[in-house]
Amino acid sequence: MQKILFVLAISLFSSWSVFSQNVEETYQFAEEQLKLGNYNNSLLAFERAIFFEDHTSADTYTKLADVYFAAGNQERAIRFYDIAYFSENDPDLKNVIIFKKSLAYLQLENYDQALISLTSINSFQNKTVAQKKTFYKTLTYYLKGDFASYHEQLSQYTADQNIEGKDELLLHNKWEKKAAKIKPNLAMWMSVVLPGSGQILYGDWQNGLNSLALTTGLIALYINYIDQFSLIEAYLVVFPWFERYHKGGYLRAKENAEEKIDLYRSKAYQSLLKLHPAMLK
Amino acid sequence: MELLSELREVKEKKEPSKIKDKYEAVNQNTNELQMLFSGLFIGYKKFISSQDAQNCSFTPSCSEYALQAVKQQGVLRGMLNGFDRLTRCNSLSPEKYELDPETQLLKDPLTL
Repeated sequence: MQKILFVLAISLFSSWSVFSQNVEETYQFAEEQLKLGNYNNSLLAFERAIFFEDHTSADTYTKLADVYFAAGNQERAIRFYDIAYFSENDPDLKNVIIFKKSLAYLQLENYDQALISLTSINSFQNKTVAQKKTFYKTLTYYLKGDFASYHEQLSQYTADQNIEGKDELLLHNKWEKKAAKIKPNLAMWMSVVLPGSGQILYGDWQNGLNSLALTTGLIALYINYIDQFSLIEAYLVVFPWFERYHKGGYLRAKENAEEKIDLYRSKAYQSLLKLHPAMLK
Repeated sequence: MELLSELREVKEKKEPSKIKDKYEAVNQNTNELQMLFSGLFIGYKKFISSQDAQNCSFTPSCSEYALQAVKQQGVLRGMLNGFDRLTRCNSLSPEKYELDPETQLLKDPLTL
């Protein structure tokens, strides 16, 4: 009897003091969690609210996609950006969704899909949207490694915006020029002819001198073998070692040049991102 | 923007500090002889192996294996084990070893 009374008391007490969260409060909670960076909580709250809501707006789907984007789940983000796009009627908001979707594709390093998404942007009577679209295309072509298209888009973007003297652009052009000057095949062939010279050409003095010393030592050993023993013996004993380190040296020279290009391109890309950070929001 | 900036992030290489960080066995010395072998290993990696293309069939590489062997089995047995490894480093019997999916090299760790 005591147990039944206890259960009844607890049930009555809880019915007085506990209220269920309504849909608006759940959305509010989801957005608070997003601001705090608690993506999992935010996702659960958004999905719960969408489940109990009769009609979900495009804005809600966009927010849900934003949370997935921030949480690093780009595939899900793209899925919800698509749903949001088809639920939205305002052409400006549709553009916003497409830009976000193309950023998600960039995160996935799916550059072709990012470009395809950007074709859906309606920029006929909106210069700002057209410029943003060009900026996104510039970034995408750069990441894709299609430098001819990238240069075309960048010159169009800078002409439209009239930002020739901007520091970030100057810095970007500086790194780009440095990257363009590096010729990996030239470094390789220089090291074939004179070991180590290809590495030294692009500033890798340590490995260049190392390669030069090693191959010179092996050539000296080769000559010594010819002098002390015979040409055949020198060929059989020393030549494989020379061939191995000579080949290692010129391949390393090419690799070193390619790494330098990657490094300069990385710096150029960082400057490009800083050109107009507001465009990427 | 932070996420986008990570897409093309390339950091400058700092080779000299890499060897000690990369090979744990280099830092585990209990006596002077082991320190000498660690020094020889660093010298080999820095000045000779760094000029070589990928030639070793195994992971860990023969030099790393020999260093581990000397440290764990003593100089004589460790060196013998290292020479044995060198004679096996020829890719003639890949079916006897497991393939490391990351490096695409044959796995042959030191077993006591």
